[in-house]
Amino acid sequence: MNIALIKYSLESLRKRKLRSFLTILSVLIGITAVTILISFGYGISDYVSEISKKMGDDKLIVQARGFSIAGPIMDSNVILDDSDLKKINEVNGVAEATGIYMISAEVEFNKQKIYSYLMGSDYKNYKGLVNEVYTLNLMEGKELDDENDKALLGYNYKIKDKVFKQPVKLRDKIKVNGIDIKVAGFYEEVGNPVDDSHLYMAKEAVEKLFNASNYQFILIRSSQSENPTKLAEVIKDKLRKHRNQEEGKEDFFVQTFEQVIATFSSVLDIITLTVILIALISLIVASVNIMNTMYASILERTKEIGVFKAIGAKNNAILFIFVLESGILSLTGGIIGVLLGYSLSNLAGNIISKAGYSVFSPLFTWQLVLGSLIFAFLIGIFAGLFPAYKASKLKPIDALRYE
Amino acid sequence: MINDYFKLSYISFKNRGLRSWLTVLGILIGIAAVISLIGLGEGLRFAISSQFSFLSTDTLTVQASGLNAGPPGTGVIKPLKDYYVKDIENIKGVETAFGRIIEDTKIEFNDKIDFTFAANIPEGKKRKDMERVIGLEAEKGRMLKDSDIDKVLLGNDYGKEDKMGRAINPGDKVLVQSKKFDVIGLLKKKGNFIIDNSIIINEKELKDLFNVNDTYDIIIAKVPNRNEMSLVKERIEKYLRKERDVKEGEEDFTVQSPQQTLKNIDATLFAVQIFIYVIAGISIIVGGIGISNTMYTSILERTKQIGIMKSIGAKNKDIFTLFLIESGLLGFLGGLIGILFGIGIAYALIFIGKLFLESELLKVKISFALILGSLLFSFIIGSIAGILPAIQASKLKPVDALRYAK
Repeated sequence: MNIALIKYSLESLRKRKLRSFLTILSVLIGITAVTILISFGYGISDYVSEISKKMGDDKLIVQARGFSIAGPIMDSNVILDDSDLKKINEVNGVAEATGIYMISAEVEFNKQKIYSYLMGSDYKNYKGLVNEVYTLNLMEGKELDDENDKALLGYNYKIKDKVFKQPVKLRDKIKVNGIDIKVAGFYEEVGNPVDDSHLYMAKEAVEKLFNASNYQFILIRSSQSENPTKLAEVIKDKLRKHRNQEEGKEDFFVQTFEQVIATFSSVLDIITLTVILIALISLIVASVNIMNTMYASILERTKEIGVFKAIGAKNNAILFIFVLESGILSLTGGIIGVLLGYSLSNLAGNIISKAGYSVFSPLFTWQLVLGSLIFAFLIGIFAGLFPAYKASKLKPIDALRYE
Repeated sequence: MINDYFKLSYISFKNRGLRSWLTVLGILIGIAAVISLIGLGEGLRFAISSQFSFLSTDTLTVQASGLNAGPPGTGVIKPLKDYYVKDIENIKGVETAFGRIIEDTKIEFNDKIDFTFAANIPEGKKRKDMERVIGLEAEKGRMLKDSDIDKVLLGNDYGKEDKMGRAINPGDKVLVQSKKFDVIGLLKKKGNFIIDNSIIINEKELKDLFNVNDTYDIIIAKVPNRNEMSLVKERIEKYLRKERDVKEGEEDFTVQSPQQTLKNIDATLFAVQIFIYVIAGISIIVGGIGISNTMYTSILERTKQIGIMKSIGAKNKDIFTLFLIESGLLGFLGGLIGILFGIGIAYALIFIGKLFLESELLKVKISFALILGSLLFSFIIGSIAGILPAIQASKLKPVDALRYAK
């Protein structure tokens, strides 16, 4: 009995090819857009959680407070220096702590000048901590120790026309703020143009060559038995006293990296969600289209419905036929939409990653695929419900008499 | 004749009451979404632009290159020297020039701390020039004088209670970078977050406080004759190239008019806006498909009618026009109601937003052009959606159409 109904539904959809096609088209456009956006949202949050996993949950960061629009505060008047670092190292529960310099550098290669961030880290004593926080893998060359004349470069320096017109090669000489520096190695791609254009040097070199003495941040690893969130409070307290500040008037932050990432993720989630909600509007419109198609289809088949009823079809059977029809329309749109969304988002991902933003790469999970299909089907069911209900309530006599 | 088209369209609309309204609803939703987003987006863009456009348009801004992630002057490799100001002032076409120093700082008052910018105001006759060019005026108290010692002028926001827990008034004492200052006056509101939050200090004192020697973060030159703007810009660039020993095309500085600065910011904002509009615009396309669908159905239902019209002399063109007008009207009606809803939604969102955060960025800006454009656009969408169905209808053979059984 049910199979017969399904057959009938499919048959009637086939009869109205053009309109079925247009209805499916309107669903598939919306589903395509939504799956593309969600897949990129998934991709980014996957990337973030990957980073936070690599980083581990035992790291903390101390930064100066200030009025920053974007990025780290350079040339800040709030100073973090060796005396702060020493104080932090004395705190119980701190396994190790190191200061990081971040200065603005003018980099020259082949007579071309660019500006970039230069990070100075104490590789000699804290290589493990620094590398874990940076979550960078060396691609080529050798890691630094305390060399005065060597630098590691971000991935983009290797690529023609990215940072420089000419690609930089291992052991090439570059000028950093006018001083000759040898390229000791390259890091693997991070996936955003800012990070991939960073320059990395040893702490000693940055102090000696560029007169740096104030840290942009201090990285901390808590000891294994310690709760990092509690440790952050303790460090904040100790540092405040050391810097002679009252509670609530600190000019610095102490955060666990988990907190930093959580804040970042929640902002990201809000943005993704807003964009997806805007895209969902098109699915509302699509459901209106489905409803419209169904009303028209029912009107055309009023006589048929009358015949069905006259030969004994129950209201439920009629309801089932029409809800099924709209469900099939919408599910078909969903299936094509997911397929289209998959190929388009991979295409877009390729283009974006070629532009240096491989952070934005789509991620398709079975939840996304299944969710989109179920959602599409539900939209159809929901949109078809009212027209189908109306059809099921038709009186056989009126329906048969309908011209 | 044209009246008849409209009359027929109206009758057909009425006959398919529910379905017509659903079709209109489809377009309406899309237009409402786009209108409200554009309204909010333009408002936001306008508000953000105005944050950066406090300088009068007859100025040129000189900055040294670097990574400008923070306030101007940070991350600069080779700062601007203070003697440039005098030299630039002597360049032909420049009326006056002055240097600005902008430092990030903390301010303490009423047991509260805030992080903000401190900026200089030059001594001597330059003081008036800067007040005029940037447009600084005292709302309470007075402006700074050369003879003032340990006195500061605060941006308008410090006069509000929510900034530091208590409104600051002239005569109050504040700590800037842990040094005690008397507040001499509060500036008039500029609607620009940098100036409304800044602390103005006499140049000499500011230099002492932040250990600034002989450099400036920005140099501003006033060019009274706007036609000479690009010429003067070239002259300043030529001077700086010589002074800083760089070749053309390798400049480590920029000379920009406020419009140029604005254009750079605007371009980024605009790209984001376009992305959002495109995504919202998808729903209008879906709405257009809905119109097509309705028109096909409508034509199918009226096949016999079309046959009759043709047999009594209607041309293909007439049938085509009839259906095109009908679908265009569906789009237009959707657009009209959509605009009303869109405006309503935009203002409602702003209202809700303002309940939660007080921000000048929350503004609605819906121009007449936007309304007119959307109406036209929805009419066009409707018409385009109707073209194929209308062609199909117009090509029907009268005999077939008359014979068509429902």
